[in-house]
Amino acid sequence: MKRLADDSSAPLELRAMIAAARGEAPGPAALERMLGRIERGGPPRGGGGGTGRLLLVAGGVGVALLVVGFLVLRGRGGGGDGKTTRAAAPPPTAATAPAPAAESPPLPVVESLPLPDQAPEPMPPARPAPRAHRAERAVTVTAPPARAEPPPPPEAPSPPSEVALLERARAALAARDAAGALAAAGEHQARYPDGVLVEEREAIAIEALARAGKPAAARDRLAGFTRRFPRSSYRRHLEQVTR
Amino acid sequence: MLPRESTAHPPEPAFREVYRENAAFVWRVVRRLGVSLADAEDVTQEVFMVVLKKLDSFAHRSSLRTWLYGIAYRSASEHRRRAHVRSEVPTEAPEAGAAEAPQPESVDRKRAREQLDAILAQLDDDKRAVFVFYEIEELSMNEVAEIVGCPLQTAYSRLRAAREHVEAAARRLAASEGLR
Repeated sequence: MKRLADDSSAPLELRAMIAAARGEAPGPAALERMLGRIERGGPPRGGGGGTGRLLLVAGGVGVALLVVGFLVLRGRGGGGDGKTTRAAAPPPTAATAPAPAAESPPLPVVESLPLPDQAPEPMPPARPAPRAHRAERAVTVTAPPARAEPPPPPEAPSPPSEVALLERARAALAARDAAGALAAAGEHQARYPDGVLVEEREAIAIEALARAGKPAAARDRLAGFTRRFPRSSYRRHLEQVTR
Repeated sequence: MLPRESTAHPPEPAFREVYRENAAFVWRVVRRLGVSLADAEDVTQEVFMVVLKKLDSFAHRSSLRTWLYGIAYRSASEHRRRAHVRSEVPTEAPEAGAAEAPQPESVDRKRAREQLDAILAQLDDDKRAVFVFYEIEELSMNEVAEIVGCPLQTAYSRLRAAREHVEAAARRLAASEGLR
């Protein structure tokens, strides 16, 4: 039975999802950490997995809220000994506002960093961008809420998604518009150099080059494609069209 | 000559080799079988604790990798059952500071994977496992049937049902998002 990832009739989105799933991997630090714990014969980090950490986080938030409530009441001159303030839950105030802010906002479609071509499978190389993103999230938590931000400039239209660009390229190819297919594939390459559909993009570009009457360029690109995706299901077809 | 280990009870060198060659894929499998990012490290560690105990008695009736997949499958199922009993909803996003994020990667790739996980979460455990092992891990159906412990024909019928669901969900998702 043909796998979905190799089946050109399967939805492109699904094939992109499977490719992304195959490429997921833990960081080297996590691997070393786990090995260290196994060698020491120790229990997993949280003892009870994520629950322990969730309880710790929840407990920490609860303590923080109690402290804030205590300080607020004390600032108003109430609740002197602490015992009396314990029963009175702190009302939701601006001090508690940062908690929801900790959830990351929906991310816009962000382009990949412009890296030179790299080995595609199975793991992307280490890049600093996501760490910077985590740092941003931490800053967001502590930032004062509301009104400091100037209104953002009018948003530019969001860039076309990977799938949309390749659908455009594929449609152009089907309409015998090789130049249009190459333009769309080129835009995909510029916007998503490390996208999840690189294999599909290259396959379309090679066929478009061949149909545009550029057999030498098509064969050159096919050589690179073959090195990069030696097991690709497109390979046989591309070898035929570039002959 | 093998390097001398510094720990008091050094594991067999064979174990380290097995770990280094397979830990990343075991981690990936437990993620796809529904273990949250925050818990994937713990479950992977549990898998290799079992491996460490049983490696000497591994009888080679199956390949090492199939054996590891079997342990990972059972550990992930057990973890999900425990999470269910605790009424802990497995989250796909890492809790703040709870786990190191995996390899840095593009936002698109991460988003695609989150969408797949959301679709897989709608499958029952049996169909999900067959789909993950065949479509993502690229095992043969004989191996898949062996890992999940069912007859080959049952594995095929689960795969067909899972594919129907996943393909339909992916199409619905694409339609709802529209092509930008």
